[in-house]
Amino acid sequence: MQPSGPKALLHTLSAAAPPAGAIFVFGTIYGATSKGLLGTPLTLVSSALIFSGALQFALLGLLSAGAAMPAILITGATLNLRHLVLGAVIRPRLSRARLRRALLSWFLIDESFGLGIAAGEDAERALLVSGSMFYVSWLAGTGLGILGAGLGGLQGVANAVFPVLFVGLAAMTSTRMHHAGRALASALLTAALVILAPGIAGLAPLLAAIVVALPGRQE
Amino acid sequence: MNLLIVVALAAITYVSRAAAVLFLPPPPPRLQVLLERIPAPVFAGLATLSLITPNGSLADTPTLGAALGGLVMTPLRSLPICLAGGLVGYAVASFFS
Repeated sequence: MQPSGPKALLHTLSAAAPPAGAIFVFGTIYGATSKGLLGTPLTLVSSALIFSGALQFALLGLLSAGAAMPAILITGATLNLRHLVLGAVIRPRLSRARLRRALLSWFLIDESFGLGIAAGEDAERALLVSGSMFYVSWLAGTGLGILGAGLGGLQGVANAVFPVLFVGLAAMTSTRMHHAGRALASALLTAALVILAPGIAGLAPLLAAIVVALPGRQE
Repeated sequence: MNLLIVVALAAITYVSRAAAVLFLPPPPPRLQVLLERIPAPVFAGLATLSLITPNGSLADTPTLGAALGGLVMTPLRSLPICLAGGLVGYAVASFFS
């Protein structure tokens, strides 16, 4: 059973703290790297407005390689495709109020989506609380990176947080035996896709999840 | 130019996040069943993706140890316990690597 009330809030805060720490570390790395390429003001603006580590690091890579604007925008659109599915999955768990949903969608990143789904009926609060924590961590990390804070030594720990978080979220959302079977199949299919078609690695988890979700009876 | 790119990427990102949450109608029941099956496989895929480096090799030993530590704890279906298992796995793998 999912906790409720203040206990649920505490549960969300404690679950969101490790990924928030990892996001902070990656924020410092982004800030330090981006400062030389985009300059201080635009580095801060990019973290404040885009709020997507994967896309922002891709942006730096593409700008460094001299990519043209259309290529950068296509990359951005491709990397963001997964949000459509994540949004569709979490939508029934959110309030009907449009303004509220508009605000909540700002915080829809992989990690906050996971904590929202895992929170069951408390999805809205989990998305808001964890998303806010991740946003502040990303901004603070970017700012500290610009100031020259060297947290590169923590990158190993930060790297390790994400697989563990996603393994835990897969376990929490596997409420039936067939969910666990599909999760395992998706992991194998993702690995195969990443190895065989590295160009679509960013979309591999979503493609694999859709493929393994298709078979089976309507419950 | 770079400001324009950043603003355009921000717009694309927000619209992608808001599209399904804000604009699409609620999914029909058959699609809802499919959507309910997606979270666990997505997270399993994201975990796998985070264990493979951009050049196609496996992540470093401590990261693999952390993932294994988390995986061992999955039968308990608790995120804090999985994270604790990951921490232990990371420490053990770091010690031996």
